Amino acid sequence: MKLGFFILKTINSSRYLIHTNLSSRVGGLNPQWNEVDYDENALFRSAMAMVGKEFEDKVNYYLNHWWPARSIVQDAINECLNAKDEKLKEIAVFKQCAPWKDHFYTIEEEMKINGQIKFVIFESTDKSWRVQGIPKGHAHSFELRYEACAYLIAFFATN
Amino acid sequence: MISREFKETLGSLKPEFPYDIKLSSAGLVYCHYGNQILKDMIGPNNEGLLSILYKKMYENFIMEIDAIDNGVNMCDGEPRLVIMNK
Repeated sequence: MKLGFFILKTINSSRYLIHTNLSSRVGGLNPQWNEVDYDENALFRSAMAMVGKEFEDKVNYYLNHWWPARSIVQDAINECLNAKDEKLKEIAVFKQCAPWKDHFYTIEEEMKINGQIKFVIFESTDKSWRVQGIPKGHAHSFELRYEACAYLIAFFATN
Repeated sequence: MISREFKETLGSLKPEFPYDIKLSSAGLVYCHYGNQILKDMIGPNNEGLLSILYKKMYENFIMEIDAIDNGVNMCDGEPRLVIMNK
């Protein structure tokens, strides 16, 4: 990553700005305009250490936590699709609480079953059961495919 | 005369990827050495996971560095949010 300066572009209508992304934190290590006594190589080394750690942390997360969650999501989807009751084909039950959304969309795409499963149920770490609606479109959307509450009321009313 | 302008993207250097954001120097290093670095971290004989991680780390770590470095907006049209550097 460059230790160079970036052009600042602001839009008057912005509600807020992000000042803490990795690029700007590296930028913050540049010598300041009124600093005279600095060691450029030392600054560069601290930038490398910072970015290196962040890179490593991220790889370790994906390797040790994100990736192992995939089989849990895959199993839940398989079981859901093989459910005998038609209604249960819309509810995936995870055996364990795990980061599921990302994998869910990938597997859904791979299996060409987009949109079929409406929400998921799992036991959370505090031992209570949680229902989550599947976000519409992508994992970070606040809009849901199906409002879980309305769906559940309808589900239990007819069962 | 050799042009010093740098126009490559991950998609232009590795056509199996669909990404069209111009690489920064960090992105260029990742493009050429990323696989080896990841391989050292996850160990040998894991090619399937290696390619998944390579893609994931590009999408969720390197791509935004490339984009910020090259002044690529997060969305087309009027952005609701702008990332400020400095």
